[in-house]
Amino acid sequence: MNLTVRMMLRKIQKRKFSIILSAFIIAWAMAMMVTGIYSSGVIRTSANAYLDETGLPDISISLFEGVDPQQVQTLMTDPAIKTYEFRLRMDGHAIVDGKEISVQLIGLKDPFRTDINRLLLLDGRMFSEKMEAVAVSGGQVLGDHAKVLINSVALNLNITGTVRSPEFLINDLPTSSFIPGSGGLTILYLPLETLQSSIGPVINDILIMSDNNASKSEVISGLSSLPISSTILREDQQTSVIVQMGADKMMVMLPSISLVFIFIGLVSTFMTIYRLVLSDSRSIGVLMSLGITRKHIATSYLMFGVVTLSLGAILGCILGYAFTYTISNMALGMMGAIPIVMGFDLLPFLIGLSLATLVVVVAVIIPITIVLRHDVHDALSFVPRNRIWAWRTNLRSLSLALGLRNLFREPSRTIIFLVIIALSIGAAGSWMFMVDSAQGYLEEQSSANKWDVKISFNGPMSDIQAISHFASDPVKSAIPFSTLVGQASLGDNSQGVFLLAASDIVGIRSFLLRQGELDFQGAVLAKKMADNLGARPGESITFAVGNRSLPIEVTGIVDDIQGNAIYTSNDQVLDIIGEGSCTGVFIVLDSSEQARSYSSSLSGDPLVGSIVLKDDTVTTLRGMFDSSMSLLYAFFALNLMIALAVAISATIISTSERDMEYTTVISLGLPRSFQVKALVYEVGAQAMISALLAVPFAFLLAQVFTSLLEDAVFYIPVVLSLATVITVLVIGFLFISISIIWPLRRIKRIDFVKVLRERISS
Amino acid sequence: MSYLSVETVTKSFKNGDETTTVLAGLNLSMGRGEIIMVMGPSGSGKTTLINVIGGIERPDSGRIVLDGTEVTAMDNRMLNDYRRNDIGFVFQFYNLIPNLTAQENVMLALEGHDLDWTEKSGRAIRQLELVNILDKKDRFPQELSAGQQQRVALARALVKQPKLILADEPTGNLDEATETKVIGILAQVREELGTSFIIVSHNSRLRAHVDRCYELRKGVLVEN
Ligand SMILES: Nc1ncnc2c1ncn2[C@@H]1O[C@H](COP(=O)(O)OP(=O)(O)OP(=O)(O)O)[C@@H](O)[C@H]1O
Ligand SMILES: [Mg+2]
Repeated sequence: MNLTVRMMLRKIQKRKFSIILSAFIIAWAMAMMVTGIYSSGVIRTSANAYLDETGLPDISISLFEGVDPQQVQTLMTDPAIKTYEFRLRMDGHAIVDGKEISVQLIGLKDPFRTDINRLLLLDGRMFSEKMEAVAVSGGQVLGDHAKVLINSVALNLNITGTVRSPEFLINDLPTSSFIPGSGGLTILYLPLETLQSSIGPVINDILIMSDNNASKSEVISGLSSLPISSTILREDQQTSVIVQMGADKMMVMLPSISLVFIFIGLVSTFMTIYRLVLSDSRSIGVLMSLGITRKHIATSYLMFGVVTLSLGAILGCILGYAFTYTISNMALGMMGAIPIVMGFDLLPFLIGLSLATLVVVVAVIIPITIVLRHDVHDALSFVPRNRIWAWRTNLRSLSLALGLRNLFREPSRTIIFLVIIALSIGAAGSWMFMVDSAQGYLEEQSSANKWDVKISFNGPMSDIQAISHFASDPVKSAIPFSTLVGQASLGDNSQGVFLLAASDIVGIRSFLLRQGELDFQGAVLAKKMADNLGARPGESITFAVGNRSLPIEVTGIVDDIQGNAIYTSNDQVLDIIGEGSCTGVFIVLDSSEQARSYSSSLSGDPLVGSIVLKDDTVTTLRGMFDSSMSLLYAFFALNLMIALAVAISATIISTSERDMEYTTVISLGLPRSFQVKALVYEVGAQAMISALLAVPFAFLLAQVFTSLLEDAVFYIPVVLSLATVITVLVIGFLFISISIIWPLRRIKRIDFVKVLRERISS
Repeated sequence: MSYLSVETVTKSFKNGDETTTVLAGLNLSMGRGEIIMVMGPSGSGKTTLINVIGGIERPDSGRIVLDGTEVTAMDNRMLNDYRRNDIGFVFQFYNLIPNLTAQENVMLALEGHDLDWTEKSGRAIRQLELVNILDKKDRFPQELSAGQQQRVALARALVKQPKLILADEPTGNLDEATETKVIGILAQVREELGTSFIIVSHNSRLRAHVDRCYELRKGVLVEN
């Protein structure tokens, strides 16, 4: 075997631990990158496979008037048409809990079709009788019976079950029992004849599955004689768009996070190799003086890079695969329980691998070039620049002086290490900030509620009647309110919203104002919604329910966990709810403990439709948070591992040149505690400074990460709480301090006689 | 009864199949306050001898007794105390700690001795004065010349007032004038404190200043 190769193998053997650490950090960065790209693809393919299987229509055509199905049938001759379905689609409205909600009715012949827009029964049974219907999950709960009005014809429908439908797949994403109908549409599927009996024997909605993309336009042009109002291709369908957005977010979010780790990986690998090459300078000089070419020497040092990269790449692939699986599974679960399809995709791994390669190559080439630039003479007489930090302060303790001065033995290197350790602790700490902010926010939002019991009526009632009806004993005050679910729009932007109107909103809950003022004579908007609409205080948005709409001026923007909430006074929406009427009442009790007994005392009350206790809302909210919380905690724990690896690697590098010092101290017969104390001071100071630096890093990264997470999970305002600052400080300090184990082991194992001799031999 | 007695000490090193016997039943006996010098070609075992006497390495067999205490019977912990309290080393390459100033390097030798900071600091200053380098007390080793570093190393060995000072080529890097000065210091310390010295050197000029001179040859000491 080549001598230089043999020399390198021995060195690698000696530094295996540092190499493993660098490889681990690089693997992590690579895994993040892989996960971002891969999971984005997995989400896309899984969703597409699911939508294929459930028959999301390739083309959905709406007609602006009903047409005889026979007439349409004669047009469906294009050979590219595989299958189709004729439906009748009508808007209606229903009265639920005494308030009017808009309902979309879709009549179809066969609810059991599997080849096109397949309906998946979630509970109950499929409709079979004329007056039966099934609801799409995620919409407003209508109860077992619903009286639906279409063009003043009333249909008394039995709701027999809930279905999931590919065309409205994400309908239930932002909903839960706590947040009624936030964005969710109320859609009923029912027999075609039922609708036709009140409208006429026509259809106005055509779903088509076609053979391939190219023929779609031909299919559409073949139908051009029909009164078409809209043609939606599969890729523009809302389900496809939302899935696409989810996939895009993964693509942006994780790779951006990975950039932080790529930087950390680059610096720590660079420092490891630089340290090695520097300490080898003299041997390199010797090799050069023996006539071995620089190219040859450089190549042999590249072996370090090759080993580091190979380890990092293998680990990176494994981690990348595992993360992708976990994260895609979670995201798909949120998008209506789409089963995961994990096809193999080489590209993300290739990108991750090239990135890791780039990092390692840069980290290896630069130090080698620096050293090989020296001529033989310089290299031979090279003394690693040991710029001593001339800090002569009298500390009255030699171990303290030694520890602190050792920490700053090479100030620029020390600063790089402190920053890089702080950054990696900060990356971990940022998840703590997010967890804490999310929890604090949750507490704040639930404690912001001043009411104890929320009662919804069976039908609308006058304010005066409501207040007097709920005036009996434990009630301190009763605040009538109305809720409306509708659409808000500003310019081209619009979104489903949940509007709460009451005469005394401030009596119901408190708000954290972000912009404008808490003036309920206008609309106070949740921040997320304001951002979506691009609305600012002073601007006017349009709020629409069914076919009625009215403009409301935005007066304030508040933090709100329910991202689509609008708060306003009831006279702003008089036109819709009617003067002096309300659909429910918030009850404030003398003492919150009475809530449960009070609510059971209402059980026989014919006016009461539903009762919600404040405590229950908190529980539901907490449940919603828990799933995202565990993800944050998992990231925190995993990031701490990286921080530990970085800290250990830094400590190993900066203490590896201490052999002579240890040896001298031992030969002077000093107690071992002296050296241990010096190390404790050194690593302790390092841990303290980087932990302190980690706090601002954590706070900043938390802000970056939450803004990336915002749309995917929740809107969380990041707060700098003392408890988290202390947690990050303490955990950071402890984790960095763990790295002291390595120099301690070295002191214990050092063969000082050998080191004394090595020194002589140099 | 001699102050230091080294009796039939052997030490050999194994390197694979090959065994090098460095000390082969070596005997040495010296009185308190004596200065002896050991010469010998490179690789003859001078450093090994000093390491064995100073408790850095253990001999394979034989006995070493200093001031009535048997060094060869000590466990590691006792050897550590022995090095701290009884022995002063002056290494061939000084081995000063780069991050400690001259004065702090000297004070380092008093670490583990039951003295307060002021006392340690005072002693170090007195010692630096003795080796004539007090004005450089706040400099770091890098900021000192080789000769100055050697004097600091000497002060470090002297400050704890050990029974025996073992010096490996202490004047190797010194010019003639400094060398004379250093030897002068040794003589003075011997006068004041009755310290004993074993000095390893190739430098025959030193012979005039020592009590006895030995040559290490084939693992034993031969007086010359
Ligand atoms: N750990 C060891 N393993 C093997 N051989 C060793 C070891 N230590 C010393 N030796 C051998 O012991 C012999 C004596 O070494 P020592 O360092 O004592 O010589 P020296 O007289 O001090 O030489 P110099 O004048 O060059 O300093 C040498 O031949 C050396 O190779
Ligand atoms: Mg020697």
